[in-house]
Amino acid sequence: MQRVSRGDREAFATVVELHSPALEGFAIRLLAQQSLAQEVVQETWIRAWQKASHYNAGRSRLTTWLHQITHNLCVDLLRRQQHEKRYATASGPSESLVRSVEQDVVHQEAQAELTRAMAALSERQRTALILTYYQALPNRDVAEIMDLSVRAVESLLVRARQQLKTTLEESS
Amino acid sequence: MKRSHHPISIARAQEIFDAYGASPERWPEEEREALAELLAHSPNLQRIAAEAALLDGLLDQWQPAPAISTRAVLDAIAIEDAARTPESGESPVEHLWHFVSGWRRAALALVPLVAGFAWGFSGVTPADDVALQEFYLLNFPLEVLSDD
Repeated sequence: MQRVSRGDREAFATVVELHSPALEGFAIRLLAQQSLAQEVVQETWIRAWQKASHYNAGRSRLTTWLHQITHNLCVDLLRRQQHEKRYATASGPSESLVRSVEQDVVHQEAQAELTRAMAALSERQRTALILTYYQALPNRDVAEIMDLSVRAVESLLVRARQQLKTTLEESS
Repeated sequence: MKRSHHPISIARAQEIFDAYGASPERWPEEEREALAELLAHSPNLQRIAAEAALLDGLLDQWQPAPAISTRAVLDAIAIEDAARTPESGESPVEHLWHFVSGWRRAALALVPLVAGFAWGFSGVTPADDVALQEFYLLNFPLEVLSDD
């Protein structure tokens, strides 16, 4: 990242190549819409390029720092969407989230059920679960990204898995 | 050689399954070894682990396919950079004007003000002959104006 902060595009391309799939996977699962997720990941890279000198390798891992940027952008987007929907339509946010999931990402029934159950989780529960389960990040990194304690992340995970299990059992 | 580790309770083991699932690679690193050892000797925990593994299996079905290309990201960066830096075709004056944008422009405006104060407080007075010349220039002689 030192080379990136000096404007080395080749070094930056290597970093992008290495981390983009994970960041996009995270954003797709959190936003449940691939086109939006790609916009968020693009914006993540623009910010990483512009703020490369702010990255402190002694403080956090590069993947944690990048996930933190993506997470902040996703949360901003989700809150904006929720705010817009509150004034625009009476339908619940999770319904439209599920619809977009089905259109963009999910092609199988089992996956549709799972994404519906995921969409029913709170944004924080979903984030904790995605970062821990799919991104396979250590609990300390997840806590850093979400600006929470490890205990708080664990309790979000327990509630998320419990709710998923109940929802999936009810639907099957 | 066997590594030493702190033993964990059954209750904590259950908490770990409830939070992280059944795959050891997702368990907290510092508790992984102790939990694996406890699990090997506890049929009750093995049952809990099997339940957690069922949910893990369902979660594994959700595998979106990332599609963003590095080229697209680099193009976006190039566009962003071009928008932030002055265009190559602009004149030196335009370039300077862009350079002294924002706070730099305000700082530049402060330079004559500060210089004026500095001169005023320095106690330096203009030379006498200059002061006299100024006096004659600014106070037109009355005899020139009179009719006599």
